Amino acid sequence: MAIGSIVGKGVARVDARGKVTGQTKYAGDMRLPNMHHGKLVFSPHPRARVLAIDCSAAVAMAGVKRVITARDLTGSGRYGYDVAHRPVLVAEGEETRYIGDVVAMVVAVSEELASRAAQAVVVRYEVLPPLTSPRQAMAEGAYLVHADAPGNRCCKREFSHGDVVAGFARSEVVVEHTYKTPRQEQAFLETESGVAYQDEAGVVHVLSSLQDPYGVAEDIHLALAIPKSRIHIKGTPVGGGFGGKLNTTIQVHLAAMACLAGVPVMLVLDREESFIFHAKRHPTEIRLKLGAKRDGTILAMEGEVISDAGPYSGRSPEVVGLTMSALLGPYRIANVATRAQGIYTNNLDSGAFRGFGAPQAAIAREGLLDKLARELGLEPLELRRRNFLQPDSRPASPMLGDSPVSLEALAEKIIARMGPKPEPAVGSSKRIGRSICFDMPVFDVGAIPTLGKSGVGATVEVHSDGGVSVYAGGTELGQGITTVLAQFAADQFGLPMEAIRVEMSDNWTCPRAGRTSASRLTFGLGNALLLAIEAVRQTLLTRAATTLGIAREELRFVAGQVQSCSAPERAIAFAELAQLCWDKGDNLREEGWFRAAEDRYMYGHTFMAAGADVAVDLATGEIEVLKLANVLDMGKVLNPVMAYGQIYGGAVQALGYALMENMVTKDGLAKTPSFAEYAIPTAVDIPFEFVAEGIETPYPTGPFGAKGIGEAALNCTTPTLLNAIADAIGVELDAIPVAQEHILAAIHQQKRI
Amino acid sequence: MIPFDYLKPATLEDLLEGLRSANGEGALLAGGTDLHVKMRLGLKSPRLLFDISELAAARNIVEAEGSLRIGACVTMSELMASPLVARLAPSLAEAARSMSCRQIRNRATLGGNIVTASPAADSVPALLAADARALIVGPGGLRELALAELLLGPGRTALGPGEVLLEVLLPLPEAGHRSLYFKVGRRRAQAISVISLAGGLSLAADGRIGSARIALGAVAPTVMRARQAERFLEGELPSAVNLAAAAALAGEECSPITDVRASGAGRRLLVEAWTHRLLQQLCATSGDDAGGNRP
Repeated sequence: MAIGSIVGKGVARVDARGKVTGQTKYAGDMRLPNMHHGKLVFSPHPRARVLAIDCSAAVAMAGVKRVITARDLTGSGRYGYDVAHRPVLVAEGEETRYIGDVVAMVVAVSEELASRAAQAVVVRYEVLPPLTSPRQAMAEGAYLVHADAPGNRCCKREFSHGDVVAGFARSEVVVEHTYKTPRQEQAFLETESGVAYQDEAGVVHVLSSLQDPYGVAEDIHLALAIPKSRIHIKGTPVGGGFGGKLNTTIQVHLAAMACLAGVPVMLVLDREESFIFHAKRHPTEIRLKLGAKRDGTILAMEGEVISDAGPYSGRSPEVVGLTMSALLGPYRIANVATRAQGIYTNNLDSGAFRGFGAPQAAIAREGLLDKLARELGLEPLELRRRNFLQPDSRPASPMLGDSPVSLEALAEKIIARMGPKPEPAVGSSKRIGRSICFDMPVFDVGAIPTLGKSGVGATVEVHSDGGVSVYAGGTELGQGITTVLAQFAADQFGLPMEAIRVEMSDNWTCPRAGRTSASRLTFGLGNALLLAIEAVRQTLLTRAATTLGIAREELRFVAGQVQSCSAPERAIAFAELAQLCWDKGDNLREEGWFRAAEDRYMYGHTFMAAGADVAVDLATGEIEVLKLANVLDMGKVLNPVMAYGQIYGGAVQALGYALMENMVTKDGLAKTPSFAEYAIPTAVDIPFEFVAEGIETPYPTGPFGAKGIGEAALNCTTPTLLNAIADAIGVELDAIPVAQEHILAAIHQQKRI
Repeated sequence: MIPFDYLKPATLEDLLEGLRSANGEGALLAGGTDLHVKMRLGLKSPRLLFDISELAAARNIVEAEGSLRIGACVTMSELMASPLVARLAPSLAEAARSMSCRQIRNRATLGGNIVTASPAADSVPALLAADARALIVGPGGLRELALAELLLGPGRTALGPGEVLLEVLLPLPEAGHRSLYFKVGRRRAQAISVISLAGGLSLAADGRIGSARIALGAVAPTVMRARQAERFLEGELPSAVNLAAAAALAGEECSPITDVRASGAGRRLLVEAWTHRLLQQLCATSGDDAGGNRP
């Protein structure tokens, strides 16, 4: 790119001012004329048959506009990504499947009244025993959460490569262990919220906090039989998503309330409702086995993943599949047999969460690698290096990939950044442990063949005054995509950032861009936008060439002008050129459509290394993260401020996952239903020394060589912390979160042996 | 939330009169940090709120008649800022500092923290370890009660109908007395206690332990004193063996439950480990005795 390009600069986020000054209007800030408020009536029982719903008392309350049950719904009344089996409302005679199931909804003139009317809806239940663990749900004779899912199996994935039996037979050392990970909550600040209304033409407008306007439109169409041409979804600024808003959340309910009540309706879940409602990170149990030669060469891996899918399918098949695929990590393993199952239960729902199943796999893999290293008497880092994928090797993974392998460069960088390992003070009861782990987090490169939902469009328009509008249907979740796209446009047109306006997340104004997940927007949407920009640039160049009498090839976009490369004084101002095109009838609005080749690999890989130094007080179990470093091969760092922000953020979520977070359920009920019980890291839990760095090995098909990085930092950061703690105390750890009590228990246990 | 009436009595007399005529329908609002949450969740629905947050009779911190007297409506932030508390009850200041975040500490009151009667109440271990007493006012006039007798169980106190906790009285510490407060949470700030503990100790001239007081939070239905450990230590030398044995006793005499924050067994291990650390620091001849609550 041109010297002085805005790409690669830490320019300020385009949405920073609005958010910092409080001007940004989130869904919950909206007010529409005659706006009413909705309230959902949730099932208090994870599993119960709905015998009767009596709405009469609620209906009779003054100010209550409408009370809605399943019998009021048109359409199938069901929705859901991939498998549309989730009821909008559980009907009389049907069974609830978890405490996030809704049995009725109320529309009233005020939030308070809606809330009181919801409490006045009387539901009679026949309470039934729930299934609260995958083991229980897999047992012979267990009742079926879904009649069409024998064994309560939501999904099953299997992968084999080489000959795993022969691989283990040739192994001189075999290690095996089982790892357990908890349910992690996205803990976004903004709960599910939105406003919906139906206009005089019958169009349903839903303005809501979401990650996938197109998926939401699909679900509303499916559930309520509203024609697709009459569904308008507008994503509002998102106060955190992390995957928790990837599935349709409240939008079908909102649309149904608005249509049936005939008034604009606002619905904002409170924290407790939000926590029980949306799908979280799958609680997962992984049995993993590795076989190696004495020199550390890994010959075989066998793995079995069992994930609690919760009550509905949603993203489970994709997430659980990725857990299985990610077990291999960035290592050469010739013989592999892995299997993964997602199992339906009546617990809280499981689905997408930053990392998408890979963090669980990394905990098992990196934990077992340390165990193997101990068995072999090798340094853990050395064992990893001996098995790194090499630049010329293809991963033996079902996801494959075509990213240049840069593991050795990452290893060098992380070793340098970690420096010498600190020593505890003489006489202290503290011990310091260190771990360095590696991973190859994936990002979607636009060719998921089984889903066929891979095309990404973006539109750019140059206005007659030289201003630029970008229409991109991805969603700004705080990751910074709006700013990245503005940087692209500013760079390509030679304009300042202020000249670019980016409109996002709207299924009417923006070409289809699909979901905001899988760290895919910079790659997919970025490429689509570059195609659109290039088309407009060509029109502009043609007009400029004619006007200036210079060959097109001689012209460039720079500093608000189109100018001659050899004689910069021969130029036309960008705004003047735009006006000229307008006057001459040139089309300056183009759509770019990016679709990777059908046979392309599913994923690119953002290779990463994480390092941690952790002090553990053997006397009290106190854990102190002295240093946490993440180094990612980002291909090209498009905006260092935002890129490192992403890494820090992901690393903090990984730290919470390692040390404190656990959305506990008992008998299908939430035991940590609010932020009073569900602990996430605060500012003072941040490591004393916190490092985020990048290296840049250009990704050939990425925009400017860039890769997706949104999720990456979460992947192997958790096992790095876990392994560092284990290193400090000299005891293996196989479950998270690890708190003081677990340290003390592990030390006691070891003393007894 | 059910609609309610709000009154702000100007004097103690007005409050008592108001409570009398409310006939048990009223609730006291001091900081509101517990009450408001319970009302929002529908766990409490008082028809009438008496705002006592600025009630002058419950807003003082004074040293008088051999006690440090702290008004029930003194906030946690005020406890942290008070030179009197820093000098006479440093572990109470540390407990206040350990609570939640600045916004909550600016509202939450000492009295509220006590009468909510949570086993995990942050201030109570420091108060119990100081042998604090409660000054209560009610229809029958004033009465005084040991704090340990005021707290009956989770959410239960010995306050009668129309009674109000007015002040907390801490006997002044003897010379050479040292006190400490520790809190173990799932994170370093804004954490509900997994366990908490406070201790006070004085060494006699012969180097033996004169008095020892250990209070444990979140490991029994109320905050409790570790009496067996205390008795074991009194009159003994602060030897490594003795401190470890006392800590083990504390671990045995508590009765923790398993909840989302920790297991019962884990809490016992923590009580033993942190009591040991507490005693070691209290008996340390050098170094400062400023408490730490950084678990």
